[in-house]
Amino acid sequence: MVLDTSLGNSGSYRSIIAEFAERGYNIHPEAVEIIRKRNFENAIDEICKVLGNCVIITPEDVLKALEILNIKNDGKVGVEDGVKTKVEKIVEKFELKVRDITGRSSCEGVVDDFIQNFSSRYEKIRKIFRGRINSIPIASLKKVNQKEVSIIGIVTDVRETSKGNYIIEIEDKTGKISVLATAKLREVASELLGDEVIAVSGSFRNNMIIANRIVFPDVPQNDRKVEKDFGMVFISDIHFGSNTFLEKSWNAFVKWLNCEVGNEYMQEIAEKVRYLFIAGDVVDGVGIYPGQEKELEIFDIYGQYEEAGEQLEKIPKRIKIILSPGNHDAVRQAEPQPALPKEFADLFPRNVKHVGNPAWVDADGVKVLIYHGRSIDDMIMKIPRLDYSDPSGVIEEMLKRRHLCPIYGGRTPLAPEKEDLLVIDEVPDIVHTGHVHTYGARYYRGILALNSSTWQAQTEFQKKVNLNPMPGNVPVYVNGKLHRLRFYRSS
Amino acid sequence: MNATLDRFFPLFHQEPEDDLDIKFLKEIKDYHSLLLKKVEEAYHVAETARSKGLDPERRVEIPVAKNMAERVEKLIGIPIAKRIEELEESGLEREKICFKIAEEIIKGEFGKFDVERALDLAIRSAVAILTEGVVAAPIEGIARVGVGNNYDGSKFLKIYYAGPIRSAGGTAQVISVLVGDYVRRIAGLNRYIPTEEEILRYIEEIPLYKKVANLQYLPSDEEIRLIVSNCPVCIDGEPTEDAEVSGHRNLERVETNRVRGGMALVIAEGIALKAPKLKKMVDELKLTGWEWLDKLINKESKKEEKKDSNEKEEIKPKDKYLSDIVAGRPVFSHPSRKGGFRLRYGRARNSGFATVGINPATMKITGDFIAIGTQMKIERPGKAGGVVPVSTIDGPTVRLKNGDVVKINTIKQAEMYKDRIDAILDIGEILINYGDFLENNHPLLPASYCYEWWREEVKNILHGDFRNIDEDEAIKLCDEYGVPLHPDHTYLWHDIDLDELIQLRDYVSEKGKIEGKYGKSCLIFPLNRDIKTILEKILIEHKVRDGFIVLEKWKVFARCLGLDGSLKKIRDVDREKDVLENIRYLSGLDVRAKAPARIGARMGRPEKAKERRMSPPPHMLFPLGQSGGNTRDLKNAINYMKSYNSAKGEIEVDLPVKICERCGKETIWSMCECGGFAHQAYYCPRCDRVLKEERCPRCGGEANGFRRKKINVRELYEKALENLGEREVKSAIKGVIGLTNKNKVCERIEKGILRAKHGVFVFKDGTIRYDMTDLPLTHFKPSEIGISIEKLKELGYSYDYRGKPLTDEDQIVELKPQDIILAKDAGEYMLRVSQFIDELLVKFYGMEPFYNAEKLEDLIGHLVIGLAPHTSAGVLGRIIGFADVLAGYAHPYFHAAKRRNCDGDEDCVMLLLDGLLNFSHQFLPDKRGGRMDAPLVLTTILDPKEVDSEVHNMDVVESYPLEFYRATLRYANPKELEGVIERVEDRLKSERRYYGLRFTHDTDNIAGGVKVCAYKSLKTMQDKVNAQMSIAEKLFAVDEHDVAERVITTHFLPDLIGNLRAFSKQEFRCVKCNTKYRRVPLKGKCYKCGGNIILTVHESSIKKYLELSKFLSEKYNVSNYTKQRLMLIELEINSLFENENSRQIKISEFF
Repeated sequence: MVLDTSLGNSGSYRSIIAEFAERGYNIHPEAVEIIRKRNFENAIDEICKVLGNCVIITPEDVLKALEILNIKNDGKVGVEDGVKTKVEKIVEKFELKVRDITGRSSCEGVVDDFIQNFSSRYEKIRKIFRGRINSIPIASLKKVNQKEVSIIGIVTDVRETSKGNYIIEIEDKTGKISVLATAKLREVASELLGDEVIAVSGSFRNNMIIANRIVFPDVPQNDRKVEKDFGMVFISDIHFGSNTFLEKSWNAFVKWLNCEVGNEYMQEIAEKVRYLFIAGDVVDGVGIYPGQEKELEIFDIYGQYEEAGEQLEKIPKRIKIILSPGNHDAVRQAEPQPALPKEFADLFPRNVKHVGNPAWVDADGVKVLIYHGRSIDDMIMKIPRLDYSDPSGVIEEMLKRRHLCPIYGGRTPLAPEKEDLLVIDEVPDIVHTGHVHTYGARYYRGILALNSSTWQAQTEFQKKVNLNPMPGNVPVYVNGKLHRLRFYRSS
Repeated sequence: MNATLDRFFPLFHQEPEDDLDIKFLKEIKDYHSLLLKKVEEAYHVAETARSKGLDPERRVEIPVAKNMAERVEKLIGIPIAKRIEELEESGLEREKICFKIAEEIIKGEFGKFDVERALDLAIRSAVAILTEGVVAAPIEGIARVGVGNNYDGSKFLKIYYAGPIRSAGGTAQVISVLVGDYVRRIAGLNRYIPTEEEILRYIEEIPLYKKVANLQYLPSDEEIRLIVSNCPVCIDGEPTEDAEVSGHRNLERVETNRVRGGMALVIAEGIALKAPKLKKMVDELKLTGWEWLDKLINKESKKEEKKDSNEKEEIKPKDKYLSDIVAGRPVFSHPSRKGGFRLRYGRARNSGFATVGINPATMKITGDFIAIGTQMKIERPGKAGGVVPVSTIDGPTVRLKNGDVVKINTIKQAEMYKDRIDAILDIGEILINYGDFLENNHPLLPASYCYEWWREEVKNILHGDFRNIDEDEAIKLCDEYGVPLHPDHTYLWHDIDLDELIQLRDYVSEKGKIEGKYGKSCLIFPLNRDIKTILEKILIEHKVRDGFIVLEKWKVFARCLGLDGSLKKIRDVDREKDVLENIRYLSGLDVRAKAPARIGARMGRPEKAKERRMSPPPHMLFPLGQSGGNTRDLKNAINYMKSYNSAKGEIEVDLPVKICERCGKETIWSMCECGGFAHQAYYCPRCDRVLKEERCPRCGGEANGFRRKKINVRELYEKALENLGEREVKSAIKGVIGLTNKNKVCERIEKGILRAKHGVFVFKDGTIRYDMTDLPLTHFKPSEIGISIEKLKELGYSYDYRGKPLTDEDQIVELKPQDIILAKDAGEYMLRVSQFIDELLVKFYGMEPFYNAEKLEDLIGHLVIGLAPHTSAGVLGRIIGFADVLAGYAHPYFHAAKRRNCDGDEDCVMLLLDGLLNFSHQFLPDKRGGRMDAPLVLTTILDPKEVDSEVHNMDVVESYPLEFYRATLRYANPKELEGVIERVEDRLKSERRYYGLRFTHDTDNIAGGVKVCAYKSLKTMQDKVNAQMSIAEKLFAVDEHDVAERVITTHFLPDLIGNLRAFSKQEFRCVKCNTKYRRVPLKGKCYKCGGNIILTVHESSIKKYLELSKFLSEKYNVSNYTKQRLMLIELEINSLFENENSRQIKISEFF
């Protein structure tokens, strides 16, 4: 159920044909000539809008369209009496509930914070297992006289033995134990990341559990079919201020939201958009990596957010924007991140709601879990079958483990808050991530897992590490359907 | 060109020096045989002691190697020395010998080996030969050699490089690849055919290595592609870094995803950087398959052409030396800036070989931040140099708080003025020798007009010493003989512009007055700010008194301005000419440029002279496990009780398994209690059996040379005290937790007791070491190193450097190549070591004492081993004196034999007998790099031919010819002057390489100057940075804003960010048993001992530079970008360490 639609810039004879083809039209060569000669490339969207449902566009059609559109010979669309789209509807009341760290950060940087944080993780996930697993504390393993035992613990270490089996070290609050994974369980064990909470059943021998079952907390099948007649748009990693920011693609996107481009169907979608989610990296930031000053267009962090504010101002006010920060934003990098501080948040228009990272957002009954996705790097590193070309696979692994960032000590810094807000304690309808600049979408047990791409071209660094971004790919969810819109075409 | 004829007709002109030659030659021969005799004595003692079986081996473990061939043989372990010597005698070049030997190894001429082993030995031998058998690279830098499979079914050669390959240097790295190619052909292997993925892996990995470690040169992606896709040998490596590649992972033929440092080094610093050299070798050997090197070289030469075409660009200021600036280490001059170091050419008797000479007054004036031996990072010609005091060059010129401008040339004056200084207008001269320019292949920079140059110009006209002449005489010489103006009276006219000149001239002519009494006169004029600034720019001394500027030396000044005795203008300024030309025109004098080239510099690392201590520092290599507590003290261990009812002092540690040959009992020592010798046995942990062989015959598994044993250290300690006849030692006797060597071989406790008694510490290989910054010395005065004439004569010195008999302690004497001058503190430590050795001989080995030293002087004449890190060949040295500096002065040859120059590096010395008695291979850690920095062989007589060739470029003349100074003015390539200025290389074939070296500059005292760098004496970072900034403000050549910006961006910010990131990913540890945890244990307590868990990264360590950075950023107005970065970091720190829920509630909130 993916609709592919391309918008963007045109140019040559061939590209004009392509532009029309992508909008579902065939065009007569002479008609192409007219458009090309008179430099009407920028008006293709308008032309299509006027033309409606014809299949082949003739030169006459074009001339007529141009007349209707009152296009001057300079190719600019007449504004006063042209076909200007229906103006914004009056904004209804949004029903928005947010849960995040903002304003209630408790960490003070002492060792107790870390202990409490991990115990919160353990307890929360242990609750998820309740009813399914009848576990006993590790310390009492020696006391019970059972053939088969079950424990719930946090993975501390995974080692491969010389024979290809795995020894998993697991802790709970009472002690730790080694678990041997053989045969079929090897595969499961090899994909353990460390620091996730799992349940293990098996026989206890020689101070070790020989596992016959390794269970992830996982999510139950989500049968709550969310079919709302409003649209939700998901983007991330805009990187305002970077010299590789893709201005043209971004402008095309904004125009689309304003119902100024796209065919009728696309306009219809645009009209329905009620929520825009931004999963972090709104700006490129300053001092994020060494030598960043060489890749910036705007050197001032306030300047970058001012630009961001001005750009988001162009988005119709009927759309509620939910903005969560990422690792390039001006908040602490350690996760969970609070929402942007007031001095930056104030630079945005009023329809922007600033939330933390991660944040649980209940938008008119749709439960969206928004997370920037820094841990995707760590997880792809550990599980070889995962790949940057489809980051939604990583989200699936997060859901399985019921944690947004299972690995401790990797690239993702952790703020030791008393409550572990990275645990996926509820079952969301949609999980939205970004960070890796590629597009990915899939359903996992009825949950829509989305990774929105970026508005930044490939950077020098990404070139080096063989990371190919897919800029300008935008997932739009409306009426239970997912559309993928493309606003970027590589030259 | 008549002069050169002399060379062809030596018979006509019997030089008187020949007689000298014979004297010196005899002296050096006697010297060598004296050294050998003393070495033999020490070996004899050591052999006797070790034969008693109280050490891991019953023989001395440092073999003597008389030359390169023997060192190589001892390093590699196959009998190739004789063959190398043969090839050397046949006149074959070093590089060719590598290939010849490698070929013969493959052909089985030194024994039969399987293919991989033969390839391995061949490659290692080649690297060893090229590095003179000194560095550890051949054994440690090449992890292994393997054969891989191409996808077309053929086989190829893989060389696995490891980190220590760095020490081999680019050329030797390249040779290893080339020899690899050469021998794989002989062995019938195909070339390596990489896949696209593999190439991309290299392209990702090498820049990543640059990021996490360091590379001198980072090749472009295309260059890496070119090298990898064409190099016939697969350059592989062991993982050296924790960092992993993120893109091209899990490749079938690349065994690791981690970064391979050795590989990156060989490709980047080896092949990419040394391509021209490689090409030359390939051509000579007529190897095919290397044609692609042309592309690599062409790329380079294109770059060079560019450089050549605009030569001036090359001489543009370079700020690279500022790029890795460190907080608290001041910048002394921004690149090529006025007021910075003025370049003076020459080599003092204590300089050359990558050092810079500085007037001691400069050391004092710069807040004591430059001490003797402090490393200075310099703009050119090289990267860094060690600082040596040279009193015969100019010191700084300063403006005092009262406005006076004075030149300061002695440390005494500096001491007097230092608190009254307002600004440092000029930091003084820097002495760099011609050889360093040649070594770095850096174009010569225009020389400052100095006395040596002037002397060369007038030597045929004027005779005598004109070093300190007054104004009148200077003018008289010019007018009577037409010589250039004496440099002492030459001002820096080129540092002002024409308008300033005219302004100054008009002002002095109009407002100036000559006043005088008692035959002395001075020029005075009313104080004017602009005029004063101009005077400060040309660096003329003046005073400010009652609103007037007073010039005591004014005659040359007035003359240069074209003013007569009554300050009337003689001529008019010619606007067409530049300032200096105008000065010449106005004065009619040949006035030269005093400072045409300035050298930027900053402080590198501080000087060092300190005993080597591991942390924590042990007295003995004996394992105590946790029983010694945090201090690893044996005294704790003897009272240790594992549980309530266990015996006192009973501990369980890993110890070697040895079986007595006589009684068959198991022991941990090489000699059993029964007096029989024990041999190494093995233990299979799976079958719980003691075996004779390393592989368990029952389970087939590998057995260990050690096992966990229960021993009673209390008993051992009491026994040891009894053996020594010692009573309780008062101080702690520190051991180690466990041993890192393969079989857990340990030392006898007796050694630890005696070391503790004398307060000396042992290094991991059993020796006691003292580290010192290397400094060069070719000539010394007996008075400055604390040796009497009588003693000196005993040691084989009979003449001063000009051949006159020794009578006076202030005569200058040429240093013999292996004689060293220890830092005074080193002497005191070594004295204690000698006393430890003597007691060890008497009380432990039951022999006679050897050193019998009670005071420092008693150590003079005794032998030491000099050893540098990354090398594994010690060099024999002899102590002849002590200097009160924190560095070790020795002959440049001696340093070069250790493969060091004197650019601020340090290495160590140990007493010869200590090495012979206490060193054992068996103590060396069983890991990569474990055999580095250990005296695996000893070079007894060093031959300058076989030392690091860098020293061959050191010049050894008494003066540089006029031709040289003139060449500097046209930025000549230093190569042009090869053969004109004699260097060590020119003497290599003659015996004169050992003696008769000369120097251009003398110095009062090699220890005269600042002794301890302020960086070390100031305790807090706050103080250091404050001092650094206050110097920056005072120095004209330094922009304090830039310093602040750089300190923040290159030091403080990375530190803040790094620590902040580390905090959120930190490890934890147990406060009690020190067990490390990757993540905090869920239980909150240590699993091992139940102890409390603590953080390893604390808030305080993150915040430590925050306030200081903020202060700097405000006071010195750094860029907005940097300020914002700081602001964001602070925001982040607050967010992490402030609890938003428990903010303090103000009372006002209740109302």
